[in-house]
Amino acid sequence: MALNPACQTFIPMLSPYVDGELTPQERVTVDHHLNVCRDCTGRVADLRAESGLIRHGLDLAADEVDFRDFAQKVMARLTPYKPPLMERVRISLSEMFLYQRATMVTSLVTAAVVLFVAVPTAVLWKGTPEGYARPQMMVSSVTVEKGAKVTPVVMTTDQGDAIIWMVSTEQASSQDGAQPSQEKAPDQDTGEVKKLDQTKPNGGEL
Amino acid sequence: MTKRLGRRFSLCALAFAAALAVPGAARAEGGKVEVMADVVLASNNGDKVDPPSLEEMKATFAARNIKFSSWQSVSQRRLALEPNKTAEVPLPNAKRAQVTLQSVKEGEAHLKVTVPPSSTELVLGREGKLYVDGGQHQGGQLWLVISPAIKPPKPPPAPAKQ
Repeated sequence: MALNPACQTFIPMLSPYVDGELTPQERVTVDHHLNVCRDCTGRVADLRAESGLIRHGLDLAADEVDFRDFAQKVMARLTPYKPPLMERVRISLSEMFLYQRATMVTSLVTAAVVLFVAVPTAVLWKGTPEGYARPQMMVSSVTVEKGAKVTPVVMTTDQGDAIIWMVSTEQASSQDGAQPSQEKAPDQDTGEVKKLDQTKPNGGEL
Repeated sequence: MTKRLGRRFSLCALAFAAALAVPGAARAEGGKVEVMADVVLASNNGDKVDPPSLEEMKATFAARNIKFSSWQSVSQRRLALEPNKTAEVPLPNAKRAQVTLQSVKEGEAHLKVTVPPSSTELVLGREGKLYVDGGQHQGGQLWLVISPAIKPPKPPPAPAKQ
């Protein structure tokens, strides 16, 4: 049976028409043709019946399949993808700034305060180190071992320096200028110098 | 995940602040007292002053009429003294100097420096050095120099001449 030439144009559009895939303008055109063409109307009816059968068959087939834990099974078969570190950091930061903006701003402000207050304070802090509360060093006593044939000569300076010079008692008695004062002579029992002469003594030439 | 990271970030900032505060706290609570212990050989063999910083020591001694032409550093070490513990400084003439931190009272460190046969007790200061006779060595005189292990304060500017 020879086809109507108009039908040859519309037959390829019938299946999309049934499936709702035509544009509104194409659909109107096909509707006009179906109003006047009994053959194409029959074809459309056949296509709808066929589509219904297929859908019904698929529904029956789908009912037989167990879809419990479908998502878990699919995810289990996927290979976990671990992006590079920098990529993860970038994503994390972008997500943090997107969803935790307030927390991030607070944290950054805290960090800025720490940087601009605590760091300069720590760097520029010039407190007195442990043990150095006194401005100048001070010698409080000089002792010699019992029986040692030396006498300590203590010389101090205005800058807080102190020179402890051991002068042999035998040598000192034979040299002028190196004789320590009696105040500095050690006690024969304890060997301790009781008083330090703060005046400028003459140490003499060695 | 983002909440956790945010918390971590905050914790890191706090930890950073704490890390900055810890050294200050550690210094405040006290403990070790640091001093410099130098051994210097003074003699009249030559006129070398090595290192040149010993010129200051030479001048200090010269002002007290103790004159040597040669000053040479033998050793130099920084001692970290703990209370009632002794640090030893060996001298090249086989003597061993001992430096003991006896106590720290009101921020003042009380030290005992023993160079046989003498013992010297002193209170540390930010200025001033202790020169202790260390005995003879190679025809010269050894000196143990105890000095602050801190930078000396800057001298005040000289008044302008009118």
